[in-house]
Amino acid sequence: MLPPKPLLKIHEISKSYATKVLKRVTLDIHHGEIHGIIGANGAGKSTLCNIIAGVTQSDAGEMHLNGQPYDPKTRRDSLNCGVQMVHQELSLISNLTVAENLFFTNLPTRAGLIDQEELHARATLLLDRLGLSAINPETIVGSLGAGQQQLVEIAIALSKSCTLLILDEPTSSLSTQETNQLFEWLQQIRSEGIGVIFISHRIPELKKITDRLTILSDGECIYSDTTDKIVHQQILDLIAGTAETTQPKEPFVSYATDEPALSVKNLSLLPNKAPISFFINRGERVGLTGLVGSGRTELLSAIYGVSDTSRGTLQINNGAEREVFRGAHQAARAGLGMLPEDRKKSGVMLNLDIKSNLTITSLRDQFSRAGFISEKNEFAAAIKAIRRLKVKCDHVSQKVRTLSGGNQQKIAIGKWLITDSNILLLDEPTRGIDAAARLAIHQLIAEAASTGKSIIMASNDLEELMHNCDRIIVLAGGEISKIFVRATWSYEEIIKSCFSPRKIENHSCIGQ
Amino acid sequence: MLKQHAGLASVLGLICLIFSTTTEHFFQLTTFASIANQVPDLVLVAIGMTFVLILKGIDLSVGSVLALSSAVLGYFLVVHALPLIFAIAIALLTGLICGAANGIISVKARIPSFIVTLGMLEVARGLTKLVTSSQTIYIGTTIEFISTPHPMLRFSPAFIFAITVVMLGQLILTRTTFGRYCIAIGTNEEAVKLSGINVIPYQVSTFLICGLMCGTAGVIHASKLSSADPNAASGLELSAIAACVIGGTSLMGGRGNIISTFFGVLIIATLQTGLAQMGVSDPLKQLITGVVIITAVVSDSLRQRWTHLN
Repeated sequence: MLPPKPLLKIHEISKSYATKVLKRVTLDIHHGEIHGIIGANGAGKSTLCNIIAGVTQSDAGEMHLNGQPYDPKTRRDSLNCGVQMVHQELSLISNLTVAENLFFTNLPTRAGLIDQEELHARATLLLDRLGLSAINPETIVGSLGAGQQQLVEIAIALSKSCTLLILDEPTSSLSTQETNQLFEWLQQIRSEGIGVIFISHRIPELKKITDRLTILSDGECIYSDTTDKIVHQQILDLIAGTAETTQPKEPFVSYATDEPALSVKNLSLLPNKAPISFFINRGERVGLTGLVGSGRTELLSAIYGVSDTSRGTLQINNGAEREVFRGAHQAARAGLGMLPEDRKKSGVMLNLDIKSNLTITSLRDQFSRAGFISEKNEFAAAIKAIRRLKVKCDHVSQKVRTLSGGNQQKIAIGKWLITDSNILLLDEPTRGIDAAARLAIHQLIAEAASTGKSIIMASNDLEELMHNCDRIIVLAGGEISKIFVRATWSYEEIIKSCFSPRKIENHSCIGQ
Repeated sequence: MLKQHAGLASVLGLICLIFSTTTEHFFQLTTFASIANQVPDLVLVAIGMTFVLILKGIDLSVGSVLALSSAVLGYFLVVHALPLIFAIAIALLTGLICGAANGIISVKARIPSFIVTLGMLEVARGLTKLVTSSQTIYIGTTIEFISTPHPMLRFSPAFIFAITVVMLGQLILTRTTFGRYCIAIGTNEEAVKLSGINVIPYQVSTFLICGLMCGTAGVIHASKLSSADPNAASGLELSAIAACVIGGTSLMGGRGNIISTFFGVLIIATLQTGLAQMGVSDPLKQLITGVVIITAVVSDSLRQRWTHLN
């Protein structure tokens, strides 16, 4: 079935930084196969891909591409061999247009000037071919949503000569529909004999799209075989190898009460859209989903007072109705806390220590006297918090930069637990973190709910919401499409409601 | 933190050692006393600048604001014969108002402080020339005591005052919620905002602090010269930024330390004095100072990268 000679042969690759990151990893990528790689954060996935793409070099071991020795020293070397890599972090130039980004390394020119007509024509052609005709090539990239930017980025890789395509968590910012679009492309390029390395944390996705699967754990390749031979729970067990994830999934326990915590009334996100109204009770967990561009992040921002354009009223704890907050400081004072979508950019302060990150919201009220920080109390609270959050670290004076993504996320949530905020707005709380940390964060959320806190969590991952929420609000095109309750919901129904008819054509233009 | 101070102190020590071996007159109490009595105004301005830089701002107007404050002081002392204490109060207020203007305009209107303070540099200098009619106002002996060295201590009250402000500034930066929030905002403004902190008062405050420091430095500067010079302290902004940067303050925000800045000022001043004693020509003095600034920053960034790797 598979061609006998592998496209890329990786033999006993090792790499050390401060610690050993890869330990004699051996695996093959074949022509026309989608090869999944999964592993906890720090398992060595990104390092392995960086070695293949020539971003960094291995300490030992060798690689062969198409039977030839392959040892890329730079990114350019690997590109010349047809190895394309799309990073998890977006690397588009946000001030330029989609067309300029698409052909950035190869802009058509006439007499030394950029040939705009030619550029536009080529870009339109490429976007059409990839089924992205909804994106206008003249759009400034920065004004597109994260999902669309990711698709453009993958389109750039596909537009070039490519024998091996490396995708590092391509779906983490994609909506279900966009993921399906991506999968169509992948099946297309598989049939053209191109090899694809597909890194993901999402097991169902890997099961669905990959032909073979490699599991990395602590720098070692512990499984590399056809995807069909292994089931979901086995994968999870192999990744973690700890008791934390091998525990059977706990049944959902609801902590919802009937005391109202927050009602949102007539909140308008975008002009000409139906206003949004909903409520959440104490101890309740409400999920927020919808396609990319449906307004999930915008809704959370509006409730938290960081959107300048939204209008509407809020009512907290049955108090008086008030206008939406103007500024996060007002929201925080009223007992709200927010976990932003982009952890590194706005969730944590990477260059500050764990302690300062944890106490940033509570410093003035809990850990200071007459403006001076009471360091002893602050230190004690930080230690208590990292135990409660099970953050893996050496000490609380360590910079947050040195922690893994999952542990960073625990810190970002932890600051609100110290503040004792009553309403937590969590935007993609488990995006880009490994399975074990994901479970730990779900437990934290459940724990918070059990103490009477109300949680609104937005996620692309519907299964995640179905496992963790009492109700799910589906947004489409900046409006509420439908609100589902646990007793009567079904996966199919919820997915369908993401595509309420009127909005299907619109949704891809909303970011513009 | 202490490690950083030790590094800067040893650089200062090394510079002193070099001058001590190359010139006969350098290693004397008089030299050190004269350096100490020469720096207070720059120390104060550099402290203000450190706060501004930590929050990712910059204040280019410090030299002009200093000159304006000393002009205002001279004007009210000489032309209106106001009591010293009132004249000083007005001079400090002048600095504070300039700082407030810098802060409020740049923060509220979201204009880069580089541009706003560049404008203020011109505005304050123009006002200085209006107040003084472009002529030096001779103030006389009333304010000389501020910069006159104590016969026993060898240090002037201004130097003692500057040291006190250094300690106070360090305390505010490292031990108070204000200082913590300043560093946090400089590190990641967006994250701090989303943590429910209103960052605007902090951003404006650093410009206020800087303005107040310029006002104070203006008084000290006038006392040094016994007069208000309309062209005083031009180019001081660059010395102040250099001192901050030598002390390890990052122009990208989030990193800075008052004691280190103080060392930065001492390094610059010692270099100037030592080179002058060696009889080095002005162009060469400038050149060497520039090389020292760049060397300091490069070695600091290498050290940063090295600690990052480990």
